[in-house]
Amino acid sequence: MTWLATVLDQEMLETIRKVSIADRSTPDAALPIKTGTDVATELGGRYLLRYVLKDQVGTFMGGSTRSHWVTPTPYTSRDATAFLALPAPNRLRRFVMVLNPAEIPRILGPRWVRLGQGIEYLLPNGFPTTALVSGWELELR
Amino acid sequence: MSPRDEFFESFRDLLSKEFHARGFAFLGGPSDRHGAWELSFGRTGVINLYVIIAGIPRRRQTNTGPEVITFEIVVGADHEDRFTRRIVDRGFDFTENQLQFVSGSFLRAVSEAMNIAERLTIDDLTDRYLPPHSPTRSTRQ
Repeated sequence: MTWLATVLDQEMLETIRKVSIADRSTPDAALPIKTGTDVATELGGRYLLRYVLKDQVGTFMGGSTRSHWVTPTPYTSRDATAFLALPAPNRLRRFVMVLNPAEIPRILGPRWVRLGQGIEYLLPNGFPTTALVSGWELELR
Repeated sequence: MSPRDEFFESFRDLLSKEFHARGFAFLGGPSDRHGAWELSFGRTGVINLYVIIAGIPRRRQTNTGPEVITFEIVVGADHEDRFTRRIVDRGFDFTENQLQFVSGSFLRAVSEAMNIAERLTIDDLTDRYLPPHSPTRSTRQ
């Protein structure tokens, strides 16, 4: 099912929205720069997901100015590790932050995950508190 | 900017020199990929080579103890829809206070990672990127 979720996101972006997903070798600096409103439109109003390690729960409830990678595709903890080619594969991301792209001023991407299977966007300046849809992390079950 | 953020910025500059000397370009980072800092370097050619350095904050042993960053070095390569990804080292732990004294042994491990990447051939690309085709494109063929 994870494969299908990724395929449907690819379909939505490339076929329906006519958005190119950058090749895996594309440097961050060469990714297209978009407004959050643009990304919200190309995602059809869907949200962006930033998976969270258990001991980092609560860290970003005030927003973040760090750059973060996010994905539009929902994954289980195990599939997130595999599809997003995450470091520390032995530490499952059991939580997720749901972010509203329309509240994020600057977003780069999308790009295929390097050495992985997912689709991702880069938030080069992080995200404001107002982008947190639920106000806290959701536990993946 | 936190000491850790400052470290990763200076670490990027230090590593960039090492990688550039071997023909690898800086691809991006430091960015937070779902709980881990990541720096990526790559070299295009008959196959695309990648070396990715990730720093993963580890849970503190005590509430007052220093946070430990575990480093992981990943090597990979791809060509069209074929790829390989290997964790080649994850044996380096530094506390935030120690980050500025990154050891020569770590830099040697990074150099060895480049050696491993350079030895990869197209025959090593035994995994396949999914999805090879989106549903609508498959039906049009």
